[in-house]
Amino acid sequence: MQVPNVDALLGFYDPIAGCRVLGAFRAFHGIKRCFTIIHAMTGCHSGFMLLRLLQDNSDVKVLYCGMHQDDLIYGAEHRLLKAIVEAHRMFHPDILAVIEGNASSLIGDDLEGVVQKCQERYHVKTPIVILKGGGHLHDHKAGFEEALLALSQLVRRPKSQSPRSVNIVGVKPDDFRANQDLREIRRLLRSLGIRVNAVIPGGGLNDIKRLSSAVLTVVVGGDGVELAKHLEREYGIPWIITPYPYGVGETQRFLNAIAGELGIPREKADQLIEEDMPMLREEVKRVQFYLKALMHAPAFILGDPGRSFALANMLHHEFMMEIPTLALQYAPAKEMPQELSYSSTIKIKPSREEIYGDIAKTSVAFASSFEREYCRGMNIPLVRFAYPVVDFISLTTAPLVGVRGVVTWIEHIVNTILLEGVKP
Amino acid sequence: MNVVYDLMSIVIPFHRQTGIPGKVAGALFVARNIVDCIPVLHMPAGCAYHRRLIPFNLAILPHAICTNLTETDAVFGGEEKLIDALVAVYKWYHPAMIMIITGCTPDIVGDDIGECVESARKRGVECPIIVVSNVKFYSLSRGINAALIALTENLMEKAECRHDRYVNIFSLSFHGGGLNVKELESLIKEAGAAINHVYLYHNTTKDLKEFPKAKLLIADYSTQWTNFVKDHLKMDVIALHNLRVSGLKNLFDCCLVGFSGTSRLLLEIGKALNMEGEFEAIARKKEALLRNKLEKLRRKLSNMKLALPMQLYVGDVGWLALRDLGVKCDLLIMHTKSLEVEYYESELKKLIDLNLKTIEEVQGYQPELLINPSPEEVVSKSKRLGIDAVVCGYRENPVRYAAQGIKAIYTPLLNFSLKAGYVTALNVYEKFAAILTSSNPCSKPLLSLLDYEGEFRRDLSSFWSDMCKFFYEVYHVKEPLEQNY
Repeated sequence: MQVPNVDALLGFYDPIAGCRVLGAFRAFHGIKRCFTIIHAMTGCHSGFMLLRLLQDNSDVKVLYCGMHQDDLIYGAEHRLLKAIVEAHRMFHPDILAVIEGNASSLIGDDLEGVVQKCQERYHVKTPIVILKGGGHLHDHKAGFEEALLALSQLVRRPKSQSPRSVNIVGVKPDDFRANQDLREIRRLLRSLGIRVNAVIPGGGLNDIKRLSSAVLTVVVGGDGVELAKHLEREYGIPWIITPYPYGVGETQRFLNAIAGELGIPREKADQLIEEDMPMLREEVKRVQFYLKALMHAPAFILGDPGRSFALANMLHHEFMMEIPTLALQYAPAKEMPQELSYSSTIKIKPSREEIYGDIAKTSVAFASSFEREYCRGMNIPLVRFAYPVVDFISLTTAPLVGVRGVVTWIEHIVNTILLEGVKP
Repeated sequence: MNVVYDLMSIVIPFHRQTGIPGKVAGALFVARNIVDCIPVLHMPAGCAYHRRLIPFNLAILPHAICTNLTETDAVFGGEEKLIDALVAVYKWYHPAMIMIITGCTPDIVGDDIGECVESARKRGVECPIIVVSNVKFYSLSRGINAALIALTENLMEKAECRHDRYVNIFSLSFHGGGLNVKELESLIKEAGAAINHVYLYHNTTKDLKEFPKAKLLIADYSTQWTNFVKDHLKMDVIALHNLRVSGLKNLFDCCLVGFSGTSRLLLEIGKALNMEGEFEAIARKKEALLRNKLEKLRRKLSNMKLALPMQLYVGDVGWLALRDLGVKCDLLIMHTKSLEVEYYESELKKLIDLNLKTIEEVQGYQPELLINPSPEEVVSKSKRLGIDAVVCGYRENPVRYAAQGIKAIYTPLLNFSLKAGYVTALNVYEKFAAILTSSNPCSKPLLSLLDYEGEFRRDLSSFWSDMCKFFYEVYHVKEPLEQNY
């Protein structure tokens, strides 16, 4: 059930998700050795860079073109040209991605012309992809999809297709513990005899080039489906959307879906799950009192569709929590099954006032760092998982996906409640 | 053409920009510190979304209310949306003040913000509406200055009853120590003057309206805004750090922090308030009371030889130790690369000269000079000169010295607490002395595992400093503790 957006009635808007430009930035930035040049005013660069640097202090792959207010009259093409040439000279990147912000889109800088000049006159050999249009148009999800499609121009025609090889699309490396999740997904698939051909985002230029060599594209959680469709159109590669493998049940569905497509017996996937269950049993034993206390606890979830649906299913079926409301930062892919296996109100892009109202009615919130101040004020523990998580670092190898990930979730949830849930 | 911005596209990565963002973040930082003010961001939703994270101190705003401009609004203008938002915000939150902060879209499209404010008033918005719109100057903290100037121009009327003994204190949390001004407040009160208000932290709109009541403003730095206050409100201004070095003979002349600096500050305040006698008496009394503690530290450190970083203005505890604690500077390290963006060669030469002369005036001889040295050069020179510690500012990387057995003191974080006041200065000096005289240097710093020669990391030191400054502020800067001054 979708509730109307109250902000439309109020006359103002308090956004709960980033714009098209941020979506595109996350896609490009997730590619290894791809340097992103923000062709916009300094605020866009500073904001995006901070969102990334607070999670990874070493990540320097976002650059600023140097646009200034004066350029809004005469154009900032000269600055972009300088930035591309310098970035190429200084970093020798595998890919340069140029993202146009609102200011440039309004004054109409000729980005293609700049790129052509860089290649012809300044001999910039690095492949350059462009995302034009600024952030006015569409939303975060659209930017992510468009950026992946822009990268698809770098895909090479396949010499041959590797049997039982898959592309993993849609896991965003700047999501909380996403790198650990990608490692675990690779391990799980490897155990089933499946080779991961390419990971986008998450891989590098070579991953993009060989996207056409897989026999299946797996869209984890639904984001990146447009790239999957493109690969089907161009190279005949079938695709499926799988749930994000949070929890035992969703991991089972994830593995079964892929195994089914590749003709791998279901028992093999079940067996893989079973192998990790004794370990999970032991850990559950150690936190059984805490888990019992979570039973029927009302929880609120705000996040991207793929991970939120999977989290809701895990929390309800495995942690025995109630999820009266599930709020999505943006609409899920229309091809994605949106049904939860229990009753919950699903709100797409609700207003912030609505979100805060829903959080106030629950005992635990699962959302992003941006909901921190409200939760703090209400003394409601905030389990950080949705983008962006900027006040919680994750260096240890523990994933959130798979059976092993359930242990990480238990630790994350219980520790958060213990630390943040003590009433004054 | 502005030189700094023109060169930004060359100096990639220009990481320090992460901490020095544009107009919106600065203005939001100001608005956030006014408790009954609601900022309205006149811009697309995406801009408002990531500006929720305040980059100066990593605060997160619970609300980032915006007008959600779309491409249609970019063509036809977003004035209607702004009027609706102002009316709705007023009805919904009943704020004492609304601050409109425009993004680049309405700035380019040319929305008539003044007209929107008028329309909103006709529709019942009664609170003051402050507009932070097109910013025409180029300072890196232009958002903060623009918001403060807008507040001064539109909210602070010239005082009908100015109090000759009222003082305003202004300090931003990210200017090191933020509101750690309790001692200064106490000194001013003891001398018989009064504090009008301390800005800018949890102030109300009423506090800001009352700003012009004071005769004098004491601010951390001289900025476009303090100049505006001087001109517009005819208020006297004393800056603890005066950034203009032209015409100076000694860098300490424009530094009013530290032990001796505090005495000079009190004399300046006395002069501005026509209370020279009272403030001089307080300065003498406090100096006499605390001189013993200072002498004890002097005895401990007077034989210490330091390598000091170049200063544009004195804001470093190592330099203040030179004047107040009698340490010696035998080596001056100058990193001019990032300064070359803003200064001509002749200006840099003058700056170097001023640094050397200041040190000579204090200790009687000039130190040796290293310009843009490699860490190895610093280490070898330090060993040859018998330097006890290398004091590292933002432009140095202490880890590289520590890894080679040279004691390195990273002072920017100590400088954070360095404000006006005798006890405040002594507290920082004690910490500095403890590090300097410690016989247990870090033997295996984790950060020495990093390869600082690599391509991506060569400009990372100053960036890293900014990042760690944010983090330091998160865990260190708290509400000031009540102390008996």
